[in-house]
Amino acid sequence: MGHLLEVKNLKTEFKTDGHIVQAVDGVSYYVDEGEIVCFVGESGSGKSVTQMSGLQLIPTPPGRIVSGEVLYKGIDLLKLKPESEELRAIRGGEIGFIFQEPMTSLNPVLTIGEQIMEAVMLHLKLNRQQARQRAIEMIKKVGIPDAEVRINDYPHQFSGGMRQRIMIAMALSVEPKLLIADEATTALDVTTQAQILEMLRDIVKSTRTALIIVTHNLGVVARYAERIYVMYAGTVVESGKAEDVFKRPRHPYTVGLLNAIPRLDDPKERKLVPIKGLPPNLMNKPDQCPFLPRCTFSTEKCHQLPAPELRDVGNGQRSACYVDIEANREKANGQIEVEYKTSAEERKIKEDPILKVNQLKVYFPVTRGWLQRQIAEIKAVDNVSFQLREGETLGLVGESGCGKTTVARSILRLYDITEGDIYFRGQNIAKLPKRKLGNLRRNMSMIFQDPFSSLNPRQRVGDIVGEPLIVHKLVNNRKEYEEKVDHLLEMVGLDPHLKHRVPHEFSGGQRQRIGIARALASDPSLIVCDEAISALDVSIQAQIINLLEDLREQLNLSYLFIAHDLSVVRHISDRVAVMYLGRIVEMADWKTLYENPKHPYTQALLSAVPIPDPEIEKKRERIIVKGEVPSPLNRPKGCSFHNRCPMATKACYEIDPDLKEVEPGHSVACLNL
Amino acid sequence: MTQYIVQRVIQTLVVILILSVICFFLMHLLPGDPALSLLGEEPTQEEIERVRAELGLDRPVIVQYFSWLADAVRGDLGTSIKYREDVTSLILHRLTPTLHIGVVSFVISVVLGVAAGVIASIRRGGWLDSLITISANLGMAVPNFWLGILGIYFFSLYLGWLPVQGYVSPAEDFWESTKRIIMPCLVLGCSSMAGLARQTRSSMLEVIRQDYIRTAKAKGLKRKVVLYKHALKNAVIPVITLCGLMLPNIIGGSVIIEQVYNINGIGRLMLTAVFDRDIIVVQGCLIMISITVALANLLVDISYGYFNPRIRYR
Amino acid sequence: MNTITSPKAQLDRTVVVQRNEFKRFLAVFLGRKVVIFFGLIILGMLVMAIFAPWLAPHDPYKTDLSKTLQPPSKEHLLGTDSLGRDLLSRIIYGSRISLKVGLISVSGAAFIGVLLGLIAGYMGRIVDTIISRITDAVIAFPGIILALAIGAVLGEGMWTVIVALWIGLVPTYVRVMRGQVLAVKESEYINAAIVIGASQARIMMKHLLPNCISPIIVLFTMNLGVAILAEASLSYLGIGVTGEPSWGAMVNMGQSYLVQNPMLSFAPGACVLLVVLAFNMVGDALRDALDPRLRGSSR
Repeated sequence: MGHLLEVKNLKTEFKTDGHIVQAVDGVSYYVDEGEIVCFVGESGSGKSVTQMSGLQLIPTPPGRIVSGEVLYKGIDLLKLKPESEELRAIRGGEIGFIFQEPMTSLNPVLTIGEQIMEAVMLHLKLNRQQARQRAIEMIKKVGIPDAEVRINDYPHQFSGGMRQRIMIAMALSVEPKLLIADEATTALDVTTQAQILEMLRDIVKSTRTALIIVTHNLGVVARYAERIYVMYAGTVVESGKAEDVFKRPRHPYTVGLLNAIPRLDDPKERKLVPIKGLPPNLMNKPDQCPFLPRCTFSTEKCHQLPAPELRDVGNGQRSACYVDIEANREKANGQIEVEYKTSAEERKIKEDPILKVNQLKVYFPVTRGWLQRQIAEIKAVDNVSFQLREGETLGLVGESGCGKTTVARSILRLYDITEGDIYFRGQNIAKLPKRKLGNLRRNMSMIFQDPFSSLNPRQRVGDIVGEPLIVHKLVNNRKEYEEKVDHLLEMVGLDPHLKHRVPHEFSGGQRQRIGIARALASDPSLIVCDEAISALDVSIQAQIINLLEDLREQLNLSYLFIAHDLSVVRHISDRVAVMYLGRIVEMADWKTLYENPKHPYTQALLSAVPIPDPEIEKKRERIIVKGEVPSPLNRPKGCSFHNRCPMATKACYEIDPDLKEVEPGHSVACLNL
Repeated sequence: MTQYIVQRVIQTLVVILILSVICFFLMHLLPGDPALSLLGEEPTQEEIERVRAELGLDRPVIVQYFSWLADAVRGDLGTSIKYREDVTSLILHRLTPTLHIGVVSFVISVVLGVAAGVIASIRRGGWLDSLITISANLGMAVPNFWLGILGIYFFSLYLGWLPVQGYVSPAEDFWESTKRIIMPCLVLGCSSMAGLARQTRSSMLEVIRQDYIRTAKAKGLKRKVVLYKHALKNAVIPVITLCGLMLPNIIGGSVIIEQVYNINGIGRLMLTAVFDRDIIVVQGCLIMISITVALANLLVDISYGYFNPRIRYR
Repeated sequence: MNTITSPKAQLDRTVVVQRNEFKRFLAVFLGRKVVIFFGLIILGMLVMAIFAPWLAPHDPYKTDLSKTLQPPSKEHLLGTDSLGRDLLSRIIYGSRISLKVGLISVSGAAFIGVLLGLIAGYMGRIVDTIISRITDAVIAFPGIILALAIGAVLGEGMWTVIVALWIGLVPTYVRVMRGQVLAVKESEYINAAIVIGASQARIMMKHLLPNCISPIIVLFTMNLGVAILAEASLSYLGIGVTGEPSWGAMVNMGQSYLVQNPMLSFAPGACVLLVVLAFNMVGDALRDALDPRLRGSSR
């Protein structure tokens, strides 16, 4: 019997500004019935375009499917017209699609019921009444309460996680044979991601639906995939069974990816091994191995030969590489040339706090109507206290909306503080008038999340980096200024000759370096990193993390490191605080927190983070929290986690627990300890 | 939704009140004394005093405003200085042609404009799209008084298909009335039609790029269903706002059209009143038009709320 | 500051996209062939207005009652009007009024509007509410009616038109500028500037203004067309320019002699159409070239 879906030598191009971008360049793969297959790659690798090309969902123009075959049950879908009856019956009827952006993928002016029903009526040939029943049944199945009522609601009345459930209900309502989830959980929080992927897997396994998961998250791949395709620069560079690829990656890119990401089970002092350089430009690619400029295994031969084809390397695993990685196994597993960073003990962490936050409260008014009456208050940060010692890195983690970014921005006085004190080197800065903040601005700086919006597009790179020098009058003359700017750029690994260029001309990683150089310019002692690496690709993340670690050591910096990625926080922090709904629920040194978490929320959070190793993933016990994070507008009474907590007792509904020290240096806000 | 409508109604009332203040005081900025313009050549001091008292001009301005407002609410907009006639009845007499032409022209421009925009967006890049886009660009730039004259020359004088000028009430002779207003309506609606066509087109193109359209396609829906059910329903929302922005165009344009086609409507009344410095009439017209604009905007706001579920179900 | 020097060889010197913003702007702007055509029309109008005394074949004010309503001839290329004045010369002179009114009204409105928009967007709260509400009210009000009311106060003339246009056009700038300021104010690079300690004035001048200005340039261009059209309309109605030759008033005068010489109305009106179209099209192209996000939306 043939495969359910088999794609042969698919090529897709995009035409932009007169250039041809070869987004998909000869991709072949197959999926069998009931199988879970993962496509993994970084942004621009062509993994999403591959999936959309097969169903002729890419916009044409500018896109164009150049060649290839997409055989579904033996029928070549590319031979069918995009609007033909036959193709439409397969697209949506036999093959379902779930897209990345739950917030924009549902039609805002139609009820969710209508959107599910129209698919059901079309493909299952049911009448309206039956379709309605089916829709209700599906909405129940994806875990949305009160399905009969909510079917008449519009998308804006649901949260992001709920909308993604609705997308799943919609795709599965017509009983497809294959479901494609294109970065379906990327925009969601880690606990929601875990809920949704678990549910998705349970459903497809019970109905023997094949599932393609497209993702950049290696942890997700390890947790769910049976087979893997690794994509790079529009081609598949490696494929095989999940266990094999993770255990014995046979392509230098896969090797690189696995060594570049921090893991929850890493040794703490391991330095990440970034993949050097940038992803390739897909315009006018030369006929050469696309990974060659970034490869650490390359030989003379690689430079002379054309781009390698996928070849069998045994046991069904295939790799597009001329080099025998197996012969270099030790190097590939990162067992030689391991670099270690300076441990916390070796760094000089002083006992004195550089920053002390005491009972910080930040409330935002909710206004409505013409006269902007205040109708409510969002308690974004509610009673947060912590301190940061000189030279220390404190990680602040939590899911979106937990208030971690508000804390960061309040410390820098970007938001008005409702109540509480912030001591910077002993001086209370919480109530200081804005014009007296000069000293604070000089000594405390910030690295922003989005490398694209945090640089003024009308300024040259040199001016961006040098602005603090001018603002704080740190240089005496032009020459000194230019030297300082050059030096700063060199410190973050950029060629000073680039200082006359504008931000548009750089990649995300490079822009983040520019942002770091700006943050360093006034020679600060504390840097607040607000999700500083989360907008970057995996291979670039490692570069920036290493840079931050090097700078910390060389300049003796203290970091307040805000992030939602628990593995990254574990890697870089000395101490970690976990936030939930505007409060810190647990705080300890990294080792205690990750190895012996006490708060049920911390436990659930850690359990939701997948580890990029299928063998470990199989053995892990999972705690899936139920429900969603409530809105800070109506915080539950008592302990704010009680409605999702597996351990909640009657007392939790009444008493709001304080953060208490349960052992030296380990504080938890839970009644059940 | 009820709350939304109530809010809008209150807002509209406030706007009308503010406009009434502006209308009233704008006319008090007049450099000359209305009494003087009324009396003509070299009046005596007593005559001036008498007329000023007659018009109530000797009282404090605030008092004048409130008594004027109280009268206006009761439907009394004062007496015309020139015609010596009740302004309210003067306006009501002239209201029919203006409303008739305005409403017909608004409906035509919305229907044709939106349709043209949708067609252009669906046939994007084709010859029909080019034709519509070029016509829309021309339509937005053409001076309507000139277009009107061009129309008179070709259709009335040269071809003799339509009457040259004037207005006949549809109650009197429907066919004749239609023949007389068809050209004024089209000319008046021309720029609005063009603007709507352009906006609808780009609104449709914008919507077609959205993720939910991709979702609809991925569901295997027919192209027609995707376009007319999923895309159009979203694209009309910004177009409704735009319809509201077209209203001042139509109302203001009617002054010109009435002049071109010699139609005795409000616009012409106001224009002659301006030349005659008949401020009571100007004021009356101004307040009438303000109320019309405010009410029309209210209707647009309500239909916006109706078409947008994010407002309907808040 | 401690010194660290990584080896120069390891420095990143790659540039992802090499592009000169100005070159890209020109390429997109001039990439549309209509732009060149309409640009030339605007240029032609400028030349006409500046060199009118040298270009005009006759004195536009000289009446000759023996030669009224003449058809086009060698002597009078477009014929003469009811007072025997040369039509072509009057059209050439008419460009002066259009341009004068356009420039004075639009630059005045832009200046006031940008300032108010900046204040509304930056200060927020009650100031914003007041400015925005007034803006909304004026935008909803028909400009011609407004001009009529002002005409009743000030009497007929160029300044009535200009004042009416100021009142009518200021809200468009307030709206665009306010929206722009609100968007830019929320962007991270403004936060970054606050965090490094930049002063309010510096943030305004270096970060806020340069990023708000492109839509204003587009609006300025488009509004020149709007102003010229409005001037023509008001002059047609008779409350605009008096004394000097004006395209709108010429159309009005010609309307009475449509049968004798239609050119009297057609030619000046066609000039208005062409010039307004030119400013609209150039404005369109400018928008596409200045704002890559909007590119393609109107094409």
